Amino acid sequence: MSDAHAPLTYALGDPGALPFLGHFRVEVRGPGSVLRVAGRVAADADVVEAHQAAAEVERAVRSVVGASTDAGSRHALLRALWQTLQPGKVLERDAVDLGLVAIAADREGVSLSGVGLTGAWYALAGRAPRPLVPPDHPLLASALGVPASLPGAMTLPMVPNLLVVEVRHPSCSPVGLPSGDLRAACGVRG
Amino acid sequence: MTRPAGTLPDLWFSEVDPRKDIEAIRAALIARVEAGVDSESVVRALAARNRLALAELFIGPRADSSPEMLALALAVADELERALAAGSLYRRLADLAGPNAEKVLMRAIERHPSAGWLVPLSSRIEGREMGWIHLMAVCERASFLDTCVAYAIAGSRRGLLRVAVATRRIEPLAALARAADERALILATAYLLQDDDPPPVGAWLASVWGPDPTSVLVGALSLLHARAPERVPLLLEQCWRWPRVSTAARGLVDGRPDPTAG
Repeated sequence: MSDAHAPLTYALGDPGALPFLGHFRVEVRGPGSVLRVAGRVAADADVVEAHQAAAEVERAVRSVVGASTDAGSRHALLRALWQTLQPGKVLERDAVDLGLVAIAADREGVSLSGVGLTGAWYALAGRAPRPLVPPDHPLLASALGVPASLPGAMTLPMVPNLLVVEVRHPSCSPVGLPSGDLRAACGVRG
Repeated sequence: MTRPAGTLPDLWFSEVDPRKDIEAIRAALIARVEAGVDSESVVRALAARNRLALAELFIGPRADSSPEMLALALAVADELERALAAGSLYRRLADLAGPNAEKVLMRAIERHPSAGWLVPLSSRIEGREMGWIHLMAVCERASFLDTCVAYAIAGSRRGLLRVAVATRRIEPLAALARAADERALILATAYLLQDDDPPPVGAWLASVWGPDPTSVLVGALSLLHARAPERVPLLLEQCWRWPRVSTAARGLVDGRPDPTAG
């Protein structure tokens, strides 16, 4: 692979009036690498508090390239991401309700890691989304919050165009993929 | 039966036949309401005897459309609703009321604040402002968001914008976002930021539109820059999370084109 190429990475909105409360989405680039992160934090907070918490996560993710020992390596980027999000590091709040997916790509391939996910789907160009992993896969088994030990990462055998996840919600049941416009359901406009 | 001159006492109404003497009753009622005589109890007594006659009086083909008779009809709306489905009843009353149709809408809202048929009724009465009267009346109810969404789906824009500005509530914006109307959200954002004490519109948009509402914010920025440049710093203060908004603002100040346009 000559250049880093990662799928667009989105988190589905939640049921209810404020589907993107506490949602964040951020992309950072290193030398020959890219890191895309999407998720949610502070789902039970008020609008302003959730907005600030999400902004704080976005700021922390943007600092990952600088914090990484080798910003050109997707593995180093994912490691740096989880270390950055550890309690007491960069985030002011404990983020026990954090759920996210992180996709990192370098010239060698694409790897994915996440916490607090209940569903993950990928889509190739012009094709309907398909489940990325079976329902009992460890990727979909973790609770919300950054674990004390670094989460594992899986390498994707191919590079899809799109990756969509559903983040576990503290008070709503998972709903899965919507039937309508997938991008709009993820708060992606235009 | 012909009606004697002058206003008639309550007793007269209890002695006539509500079906056979319907025209005499109509004339007598009109005379009473025009003279300012309270006639609600008379009408309710008539309704107890023959509900269809009451409907004939107030919403039949020969119904009188004077403001006084309309007021009486609205006072006994509960009785009329037993003769005709509420949605059809208020639509008919609104057509009879002409320029006073808003009174009909207000009475309908008072009696059925969550009814779905209020949306087309509001459209019929308020036109482009549809939703304004209804939403302002129900903004403290738990169903406020659902009502906003119903209006957004029906195409309300100006009414929802007015409600957003007047109430400083997030529900009208959430409804516009659900209808995927970026233009309306831009207008709402710009209007809300012109308030002396603007609500946290940036945080609101992130919750209803998506985690990166830059396109809406840059659109609002352009509007504010043209119409109320003194409010631009307020917008930027709320948008520190999205750096491209600040970039667009600097571009506007320097006379560069909007980077998100086109």
